[in-house]
Amino acid sequence: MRFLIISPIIIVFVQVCSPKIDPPDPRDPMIAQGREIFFNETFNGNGRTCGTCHPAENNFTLDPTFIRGLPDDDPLFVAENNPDLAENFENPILMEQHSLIMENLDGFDNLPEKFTMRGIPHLLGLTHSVSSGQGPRTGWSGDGAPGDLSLRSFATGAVIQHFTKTTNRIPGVDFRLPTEEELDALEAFQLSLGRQEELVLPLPLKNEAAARGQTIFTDPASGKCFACHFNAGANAAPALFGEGAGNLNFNTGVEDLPDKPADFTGELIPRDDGFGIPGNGEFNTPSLVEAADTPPFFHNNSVETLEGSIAFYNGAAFNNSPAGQLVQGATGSGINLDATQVEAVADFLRVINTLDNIAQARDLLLSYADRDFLGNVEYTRLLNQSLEEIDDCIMVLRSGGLHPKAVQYLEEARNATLEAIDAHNYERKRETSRTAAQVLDSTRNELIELNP
Amino acid sequence: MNKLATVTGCLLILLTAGEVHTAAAQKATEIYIPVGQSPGLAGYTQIGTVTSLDMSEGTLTLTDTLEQVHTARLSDSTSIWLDRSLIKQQNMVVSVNDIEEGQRVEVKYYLAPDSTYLAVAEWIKIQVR
Repeated sequence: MRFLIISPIIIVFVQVCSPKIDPPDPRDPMIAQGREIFFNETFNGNGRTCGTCHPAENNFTLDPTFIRGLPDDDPLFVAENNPDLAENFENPILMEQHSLIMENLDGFDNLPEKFTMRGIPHLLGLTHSVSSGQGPRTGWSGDGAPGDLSLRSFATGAVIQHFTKTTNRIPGVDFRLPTEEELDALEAFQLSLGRQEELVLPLPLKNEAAARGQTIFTDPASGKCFACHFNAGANAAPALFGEGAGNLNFNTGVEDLPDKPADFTGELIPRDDGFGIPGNGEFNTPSLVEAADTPPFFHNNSVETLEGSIAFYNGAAFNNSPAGQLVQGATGSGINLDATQVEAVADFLRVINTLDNIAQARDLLLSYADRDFLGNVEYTRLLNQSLEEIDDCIMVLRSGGLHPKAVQYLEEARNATLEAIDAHNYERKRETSRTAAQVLDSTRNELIELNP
Repeated sequence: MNKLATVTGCLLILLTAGEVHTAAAQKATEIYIPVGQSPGLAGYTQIGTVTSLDMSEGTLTLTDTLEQVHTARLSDSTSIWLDRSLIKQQNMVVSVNDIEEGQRVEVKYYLAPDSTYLAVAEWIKIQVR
C-alpha cells in the first residue's frame, strides 16, 4: 500500500539510551514556591487547593477508588459540607462514582442546566502537551484558561470555578485571585511534573506483544494512532499535520458513545460540546505515555480500562465522527483492530508508561542521593514520590501480566526506597537510594534492549 | 502526486478550517475577573473611559490614561460584562445598551491567526464603582 511510504518518513529510529529527564529540583525556588502554593494555598476560598483535585499521590488526578479513600471532611466534598455550595456546584453522585467534576465552560448564566461533567486530567508531561500552532491548549477542550489562554493563566480560571465559597463568585469575597508571582510559580511547578522530553519511537522493546503493539500503533494501515499521538505523546505527527502543529483538538465522537457508565446514574449530564461557545464538539489530544496509570479515560471518564479506550477507535462512535471520517478519508479505511491487537497496543502503552515511571523514579532517587544537605523536607518528598512511581510500575505491569522478572526487580527497588525513607542515618539514606536506582536500571534492562 | 501529499493536504485543509474557532476560544471564568486583572493580558487590552458610542456604526471610543484615543468595533459575538467586584457584588452579563459615556471599561480584541489583534472587541468589561 502506497500509504505505507509514510511509515519510514515519520518513524525515526531508535533512541536507545535512557530518555533524558530533568528531574524537578526542589532547590529551584520558583518550583518549590509553586509546589507550596499548589498543595496548600486556598486563595481564601472554600478550602480546596489545586492538590485537592490533583493529588501527587494519585498522579495528579482523581479516580473513584482514590475518592472513596478520602475522609468525609476532605475539601473535595465541599458541596456536601458547605450549604452555600449545595446546589449547582458539584454533583456528589457523579463525583464519587465516576470522579466527574462540574465545569461551567459555556458560561454561568444558567447554572442548573448549563454545565459539563468532566474528569480531571493529570498534570504530567505538560511541557509537551500544551503548545499548538493555534495557541495554548489547556484543559480537556483546549480552552480552559481565561486571560491569554496559557497554562500560567489556567490557575486563575480554576480558582474561580472550583475554589469559590458561593456560586456568586465575587473576587475578594468568595476567593482571591492568584497574584502574578503565584501564577509564575504555579506554572513552573506544573511544568516540572513528569517527563521533560518526548519519546522517540520505535523503542527496542523486549516483550513481543508490546513490540507488536508498538508496530500497530505506528502503522498507518492499522492502528494509525501515531497521527494524533506522535511518539505516543499529545502532539500531532509533523509529517501529516505540519511542523509546529503541536497539540490539536479533534471531535472523536466520545460524546456519542452508547451506554456511558455515568449515564446509568440517571443524573443530569448535558451533552459536552467541547471547544468554544457554542462548542464545536472538539476535545484536546492527551498524551498516551502517562495513560496506563491515570485511568479513567476520555474527558468524561467514560472508559475505565486501557483496552476499552483503544477499542473505542474500532466503534461506530469514532468511525462516524469527524475525526474518524478524517482518518478514513486520509487512509482509505477506518480503524478496526482485533482483540489481540487491542491488547498488544495496551501492552505497548503499559511498557512505555513503566519506562517513563522508572526514569522518573530513578532520577528522583539519584537527585536525593546527590544532595549535600538532606534535612530539607522537600528532599524527603523526592523519596516518597519515587516510591509512588515504583508502585505505579508494579501496578501497571501486573495489570497486563507483563515482565514478571521486572516486577521482582521493582519490588526490590521498592524495598530499598522504603529503607531509604526509614533510615535515620543520612549516609544510609544515600546508599539505599543509590541501590534502588541501580535496581531500577536492571528493571529497565528487562524491558528494553540497550544495544539492539 | 503521491498519497502522502494527498493525505497531508487533506488533513491540513481540515485543520485550517478549524482555525475559525480559535479566536473564539471560551474563557467562561473571564466574566468574574475584575478590570485590569486578567492574567497575561497586561498591555494587551485597553483600559480607559468611554468617550463615545456610535450604535449605528457599532463602534465604541475610549480614552486611556495617557489621553490616547482608541476605537473598538463591536460585533454580535462581543461579550459585555458588568464588573461589580469593587462594590462586592456579582458580575453580570449585560448588553451594548448598558454602555454609557464616562464609564471605565477594559476592551480585549480578537486575536487574528497571525497573532495580531483585530479592531473587533472580543469582550468589554464595564467597571461599576
